[in-house]
Amino acid sequence: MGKCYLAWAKDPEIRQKGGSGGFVTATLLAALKEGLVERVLIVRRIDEFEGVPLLTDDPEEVKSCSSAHLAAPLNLSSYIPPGERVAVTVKPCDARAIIERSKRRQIDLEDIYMVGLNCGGTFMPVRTMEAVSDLFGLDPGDVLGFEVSKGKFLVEARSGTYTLPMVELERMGYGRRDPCRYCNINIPVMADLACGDAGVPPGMRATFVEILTDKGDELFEAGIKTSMIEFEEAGEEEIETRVRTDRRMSEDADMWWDELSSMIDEVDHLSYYINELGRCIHCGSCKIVCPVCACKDDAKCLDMGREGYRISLYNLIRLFHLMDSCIGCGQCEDVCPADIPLTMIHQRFERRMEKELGYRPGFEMSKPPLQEPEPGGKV
Amino acid sequence: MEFIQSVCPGCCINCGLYIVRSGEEIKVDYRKRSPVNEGKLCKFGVDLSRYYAKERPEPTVDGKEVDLETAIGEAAERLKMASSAETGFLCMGNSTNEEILAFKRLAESFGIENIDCTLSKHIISTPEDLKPTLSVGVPFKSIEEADRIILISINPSLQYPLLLRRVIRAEKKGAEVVMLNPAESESLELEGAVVISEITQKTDPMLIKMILEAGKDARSICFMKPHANLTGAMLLGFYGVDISEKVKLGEIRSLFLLDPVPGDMDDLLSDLDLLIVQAGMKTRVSEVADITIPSPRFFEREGTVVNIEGRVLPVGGTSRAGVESLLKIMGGEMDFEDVRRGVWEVLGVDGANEDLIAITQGRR
Repeated sequence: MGKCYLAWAKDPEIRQKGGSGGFVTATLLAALKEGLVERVLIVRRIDEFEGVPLLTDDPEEVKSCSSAHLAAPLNLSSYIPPGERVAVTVKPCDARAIIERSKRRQIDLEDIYMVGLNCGGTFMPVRTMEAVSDLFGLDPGDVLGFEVSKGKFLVEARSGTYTLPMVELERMGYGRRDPCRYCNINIPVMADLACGDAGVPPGMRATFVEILTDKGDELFEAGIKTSMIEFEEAGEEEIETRVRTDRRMSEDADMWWDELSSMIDEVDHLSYYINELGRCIHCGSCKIVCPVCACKDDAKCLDMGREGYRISLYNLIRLFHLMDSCIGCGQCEDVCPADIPLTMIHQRFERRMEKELGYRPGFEMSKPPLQEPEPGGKV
Repeated sequence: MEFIQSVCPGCCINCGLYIVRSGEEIKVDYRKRSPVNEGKLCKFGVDLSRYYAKERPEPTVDGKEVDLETAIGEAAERLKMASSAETGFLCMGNSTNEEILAFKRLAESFGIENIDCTLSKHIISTPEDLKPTLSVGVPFKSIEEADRIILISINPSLQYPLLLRRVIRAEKKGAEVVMLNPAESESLELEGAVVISEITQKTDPMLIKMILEAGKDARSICFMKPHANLTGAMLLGFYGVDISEKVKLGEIRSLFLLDPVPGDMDDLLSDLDLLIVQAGMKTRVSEVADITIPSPRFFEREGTVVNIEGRVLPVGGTSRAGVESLLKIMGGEMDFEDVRRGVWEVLGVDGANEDLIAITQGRR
């Protein structure tokens, strides 16, 4: 475990407005001010149910974007401009994608400062709007904010605060995206910093920060040097609380994996894959949004489409290419117009490979074991 | 990176998406917040940046490039000289509601009654009480909740992929889904079903009649349409005569086309006395026009469309140029705001709202 602190923005306005004491906003501002990065990549809030990537060097824009956006299930790795030094706020899946993209020479990891955000999962916007409408009778336009805290789904609306246990919400078919439910990586340990609520004493507006790399040190130092942040060392009790929270969330994720995955085990596997993948309309969206796919327009899989097989070679090639590389971010499943549970399918293969080969994509820079040899013959 | 919230011009579903502009470069991104498609796109939507990369027409008169005002002025002069009885206005449903209404007002100002959105022959042969069934379809949620879905002469996976997932969701909930080819069916039993078919210029009118008659006991009927805003065009009353037929018969000698797509009467266009085209992209049709008036690309336009569910959706842009060109030909008595108010009035809405099913068929 890296060095752990409780930290917050020194500016009272940023501390008040930013999520968890505004540490992340203050750190991004400090990175810009100190010239560590040219721009920062963050999520611009359009409303409670919509956010878009924003690449900016404008401190005012950075301030206006503070706090996480649960209903903007983006993978920011795809929006990083090559050849530019940027700081980017990352969920674990963003961070893993950045590492995999760096292996594939899409971006240079040296240029990127990853400000990790602990993540309990993101939500599909339309389904979440339906949840607040169906369960609480609210007009989504009247929702001021929503969050997940201590196992509860909390909605703040003009008419008051509404709450429901997450378990209940998700048993009713609402809640987090499926890939988020079974993702057991809550703390972005592969980022430079890992920031979150877990471990922060109740009532304190602060972020629990773990410094994971030298670049994480640089970011933290920039915050101190510019007087943008204040901090204190995290105590044993706080660290233990964070570890416990992480363990509980991972166990919850594993339970979801067993449950959702077992639905496939209960049927004939081949029939399942034929039925699901047979609906593919070959729009190519799953490849376009896949953060670890680097083949672009000349990809082999794109030569294969409607050959008349019930599972196309396009899908089979993608299965093979991703079986040691899928990071489970869920982007493919989000955009599939045929509602194919692609992430579940890819993860079924990847998790098995992970066990067999002892390789987990997106954690460090070692090469995927099944990747093709380089032109020089080096594997 | 500028993210513009827009809608796909590929068909009547009008999927929500982002046009991402970085300098001159245009890309498409997935807008998961859209209640229409939740971020999912078909192949056309995915490749939309190529569609928008097509060359835009220059203002021309008789094949020569001119400035826009000259093209507009010349269009006004030549329309004045043309016989209104032999002049037609054809909108192909690829325009905003505001452009279509301005186009209609322009036709009226010249006393032209020959107006068409390519579907007039179907609309005018349909009894008045069933006409609304031809325009707006049904909310996709009601397709998902159907017990029985009958697809007549339509294959969603090929023609309307974003409809397919709604049908599959219904099927997973236990709905019976039947694909029917009327040519192979002795009779249509549509009672209680959600009926989905397609209406295009080439659809056999007998099929439409059959579905409407047999579908009186159906829970709802939804006619999908191949162009972005044919629903809006129908609701705005942009129909009257089958212009394609009249051109073939030589009864139309002057024609004004709004945002045309290549069609089966293209070969006849060069024989007309006057062909005016207003379009956002260069096509074979704009190349043979006597007068060409360029308009912005679809996503750049300020205005709305009505999708097949009955949502009034903003297109996302800020350019009023397309509407303003039409109003200038008319003489400049109306402005964009007048047209916008007119659209709200005809549609019976207060404005665009993607989250609201604003227009319904009035069926069960």
